[in-house]
Amino acid sequence: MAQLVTMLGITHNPFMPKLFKQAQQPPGAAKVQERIAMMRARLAHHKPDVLITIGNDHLHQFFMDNMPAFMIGKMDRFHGTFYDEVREFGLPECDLPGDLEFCNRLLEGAFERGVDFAYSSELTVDHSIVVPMLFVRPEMDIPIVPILTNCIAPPLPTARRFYEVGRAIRSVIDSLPDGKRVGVLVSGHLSLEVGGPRQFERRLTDPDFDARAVGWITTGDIDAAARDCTFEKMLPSGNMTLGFLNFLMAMGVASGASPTHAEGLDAGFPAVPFFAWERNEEGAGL
Amino acid sequence: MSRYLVDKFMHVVNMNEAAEEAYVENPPGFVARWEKGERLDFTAEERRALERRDYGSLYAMGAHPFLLWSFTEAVWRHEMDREELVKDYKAKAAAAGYPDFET
Repeated sequence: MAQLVTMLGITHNPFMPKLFKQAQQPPGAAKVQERIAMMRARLAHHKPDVLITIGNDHLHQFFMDNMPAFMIGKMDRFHGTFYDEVREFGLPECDLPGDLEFCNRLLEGAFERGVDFAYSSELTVDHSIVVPMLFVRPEMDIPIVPILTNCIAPPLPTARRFYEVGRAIRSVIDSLPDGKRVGVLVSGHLSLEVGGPRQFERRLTDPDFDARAVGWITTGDIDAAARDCTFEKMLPSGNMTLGFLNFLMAMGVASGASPTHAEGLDAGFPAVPFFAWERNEEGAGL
Repeated sequence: MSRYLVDKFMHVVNMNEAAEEAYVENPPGFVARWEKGERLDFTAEERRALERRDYGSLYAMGAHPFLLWSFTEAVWRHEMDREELVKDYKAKAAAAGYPDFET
């Protein structure tokens, strides 16, 4: 049986990789890097054979001429980042190994469970997957199975649907006959604004939303999350707060397990999310 | 439908260095050439805003904010200091509030 050994939720702030290499760093940067190092160590400790990476495409691979709600990449290698991300964020081009067989099994298993993923045999992943990989597995040596979501171009799937898709992913993992150790790496936001009047502020965008959101993850309260995570209710917390929905997919993957770490770090940036779920030595937890 | 076309235009310029350079060199010329190849049309107001790289008007018309910022940074970065650009962009966005950006 395949086994889910760890799931990490982390920021994909695309400015951070370059920022962390600069000599002059804003206050709080050290705290963020310390948490990232902790997440990197956790991932290494659990030794996953394959990593399901979940993130929201930012109108790179996805566009409104043909907009999927959820998509699986179906390739044995994935190229990372696009021209505009190299230009604006200084992200490095990268090449990530994929686990094509796992991609196919997850896709077919999801179909059987009522989740009709779109798929792509020519997928380039953007900063929602590149940045978390740079943070927690810069070696980029674990084969990935990328899942991309639409958190950016309304109308979006409902919050509950994100959760249900997560549950289906978990159910497929648990049913796979091979003995693979499976990790899940999810990226997203807490309250955040990009391209609006409150972008690039060195403080929390909506501390009240951040606290509630971390609370939903901590208690696994999908009903409360679903009630508050509609497009209309999230928009006033920042126009890109919608990226929190990925963490509701993580909550679905956790299927009731409590996180071992849940935090919206206040470090002089919009809140930096750090979530972890882990299987312990006794096989409990996840 | 034309809000979609504005987003499509920004997407093309933003993701392609050659398109970005051609647009910045001659915005009205590039906009006219590009629109000719499309089935959909800009409104006069949208066309004028793109010809002027007028991010404030584009924001107010409901251009996708994530895309619009990246596009704005791309097409003004050689002529405006980034801090100034961020400041002016935010002031113009604040004046327009949060327009609907669904296509």
